[in-house]
Amino acid sequence: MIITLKYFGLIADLVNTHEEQLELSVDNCTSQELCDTLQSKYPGLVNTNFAIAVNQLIIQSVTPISNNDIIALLPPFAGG
Amino acid sequence: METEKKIKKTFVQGAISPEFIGTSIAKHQSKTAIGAHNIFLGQVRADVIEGKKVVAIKYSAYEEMAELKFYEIREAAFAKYEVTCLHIYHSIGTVKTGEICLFVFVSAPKRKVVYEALHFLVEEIKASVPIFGKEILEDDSYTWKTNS
Repeated sequence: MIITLKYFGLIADLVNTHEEQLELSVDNCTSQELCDTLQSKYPGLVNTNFAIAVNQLIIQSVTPISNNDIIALLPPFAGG
Repeated sequence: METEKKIKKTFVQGAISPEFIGTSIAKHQSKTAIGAHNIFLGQVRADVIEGKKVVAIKYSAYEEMAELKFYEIREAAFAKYEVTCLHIYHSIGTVKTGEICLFVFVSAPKRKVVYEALHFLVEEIKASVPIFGKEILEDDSYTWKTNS
């Protein structure tokens, strides 16, 4: 499956890009598995605080990820 | 009661000018059911971080999700409070210290509700809208702001 990853703020600095497509050799996975994959790819994420949005909704627990999903890694908010 | 629930664009490029705020107030003179307005203005503060002064904040956002969140927050406020209309504007891009980065404007027939609705809106915006702030320091280095 192919997913789109979006990175913002501090996270974009750590991974050195704002967006990328990731091809995974499985048909589906969980948000936890994706997190593990990303943390191996980008060790800077390991001790960093971020929320995950799947298709613009912030997830509160482990969530299934499917083909074509848009996953955003969101550092702490600073609006206002 | 007259209500206004159009979906509007919230992000404004750069600082929100006092003229824009003044014009926005003036536009409500024709809405004579209103008896009370309340306004929140967020201003960029010159914090000192590790001995260096903040000179500006460069705002970025997950814009599609942020507009969705702003819409949900507006709808929640209309459901919760008897307000006539409300407006939210937030800066994107660079805003210098002393300039306005957030303008929230609530209007209702009676005063009590505008205090509560405004408080609700500002707290929700700070907590749930994916906006990020790069604090630019006086030596051109930067740090990422976090809402407390």
